[in-house]
Amino acid sequence: MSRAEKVFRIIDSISNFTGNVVSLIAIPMIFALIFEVFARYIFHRPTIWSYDITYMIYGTHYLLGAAYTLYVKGHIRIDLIYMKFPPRGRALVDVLGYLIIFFPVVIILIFGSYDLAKEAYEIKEVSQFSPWQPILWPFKGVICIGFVLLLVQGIAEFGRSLTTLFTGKQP
Amino acid sequence: MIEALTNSDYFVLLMFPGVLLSIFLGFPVAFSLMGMSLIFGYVGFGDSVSYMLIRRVWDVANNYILAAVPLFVFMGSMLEASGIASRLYEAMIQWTGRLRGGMAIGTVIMCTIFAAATGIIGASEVVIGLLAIPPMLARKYNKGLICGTICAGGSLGTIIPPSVVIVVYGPAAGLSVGRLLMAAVFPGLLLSSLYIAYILIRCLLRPQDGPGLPAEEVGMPLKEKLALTATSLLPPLFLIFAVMGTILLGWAAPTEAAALGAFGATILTTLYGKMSWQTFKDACINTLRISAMIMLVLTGGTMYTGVFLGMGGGEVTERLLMALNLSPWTMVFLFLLVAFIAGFLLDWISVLLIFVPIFVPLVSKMGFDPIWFSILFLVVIQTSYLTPPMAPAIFYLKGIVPPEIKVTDMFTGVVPYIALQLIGISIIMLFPKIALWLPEVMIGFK
Repeated sequence: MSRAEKVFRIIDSISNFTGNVVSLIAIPMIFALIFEVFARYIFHRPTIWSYDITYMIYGTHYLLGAAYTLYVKGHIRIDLIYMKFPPRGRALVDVLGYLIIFFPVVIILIFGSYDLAKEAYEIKEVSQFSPWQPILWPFKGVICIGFVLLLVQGIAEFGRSLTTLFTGKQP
Repeated sequence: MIEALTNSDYFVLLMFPGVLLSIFLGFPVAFSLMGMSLIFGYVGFGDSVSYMLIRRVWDVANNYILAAVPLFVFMGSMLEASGIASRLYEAMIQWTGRLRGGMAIGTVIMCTIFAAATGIIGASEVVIGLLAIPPMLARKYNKGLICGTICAGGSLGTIIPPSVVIVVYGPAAGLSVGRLLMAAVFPGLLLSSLYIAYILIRCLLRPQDGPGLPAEEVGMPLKEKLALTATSLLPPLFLIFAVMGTILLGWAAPTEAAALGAFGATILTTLYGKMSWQTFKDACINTLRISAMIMLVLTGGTMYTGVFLGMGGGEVTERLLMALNLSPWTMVFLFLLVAFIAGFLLDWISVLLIFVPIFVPLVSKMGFDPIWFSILFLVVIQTSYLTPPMAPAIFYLKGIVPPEIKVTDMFTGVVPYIALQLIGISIIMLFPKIALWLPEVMIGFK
């Protein structure tokens, strides 16, 4: 195994780990929502936190799961033509795709979400959706972390495509 | 018509082929949409594009209604693991097996119940297909009929509420998800009735396509039959009530209803003794994979529409269409035709996100009810599951059929069902009340 491939395996395991952990947070979201329904109809006291908690968990769930989904090749492709290409042709599509599309946009989103979180931290921004008004910077920070994880997994995928492109071998 | 456009108009319109190029070369749809938004947005807005794109990410990330997506996906994954499908299938066959084409009819009924209890297709089509195909093959059912029935029945999950497709559709069109879910109830049932009617008529005319079962095979005593039906049908009905009932009665928002459904499905799996740590973990990780896929395409799609509309693409499209001087009805037909054709080549979420934000405002402007149009559009999206080469329903089927079923059986098998979809669309066009009646009486919306 090449040294690069070793690094990529480490990246894979990071994405795999975060994916497995973050997949479990759907459960507290289910309970938060059910609690809200019961609180409203049975105790006649709707919660003030259910709304914010729900979107924060839902957002965290898929944002931190995006890298895992890339790792398991779960991001949908229209592969009618792609599958007809030889392995090197596919690698070329991916290398170009990562260079022209993936890296620029993900890097811009990392900086964008970092600024968003930093601003939220500095002005102590709170949610305007509910009277609970939780602080927003941690959730905005999660967006940034999600894109960083996605970028890192993207580097592994890119590196592998590059290897295939130059050697014709699939790692 | 050409005079109506300036150079910058042409540039906006290039966005569309740009995205298609990237998608058809095979780069993931989500990143293709995001990347093209960045490239075109940068030309259009300069550095401020960065802020614009991250705002879009934020808008999707804090969207409460979209939290229903992972919940419905989880509910579906759990329900598949519960093993309820096999009991339900057994019960259905006891009732419909004697009829000509009865096993196919039983399959459609089961698909309808499953569709009303879950929000996704795919895995549920696999579960139903694995159950229903071998016995139908053993009875020498026509292979095309088998394939078409499984594909069309499996795709009902996209239109019969609850439906992930509708949850994604609502925000993209700027319409209420609750209202759309209500509006989709009768159109969904209409389609499954059309399927049943088709199977009945076909097997009446050609008994060799779907022979009835001999009496001794479905001769379960009535008492046992009722008991089996009760234990297999009541739990899904309970789930259907937990989700659609609470939405219809206005007790719960769609997101809350989805959580009730997810919880209910988990309880059900536990009661049937199918719950284990592995089952639970698989459901969680499946949910993550599918929702992250959907949400990223959705994020890319809102970026794309944001840039496209921000650069005046909507207005340019409108001017182009006005220059064509079409009647409003022709326009509706044109929009549906575009979506239908796109459905041959693209997946549902791309069709939805690329066209809906442009079509729906135009349709409203022409004086049509956007909910009515949306239901038509959603039926077209369901059809896109059946139209090859990009036909997810056929793709799932390929993974589970025994070798004696050929791909040609699948392609010929779905053709009559695609025709049925078009009949369904025509009926809803002629009788808009099929879609609009339920939301009107339930929430008094006009």
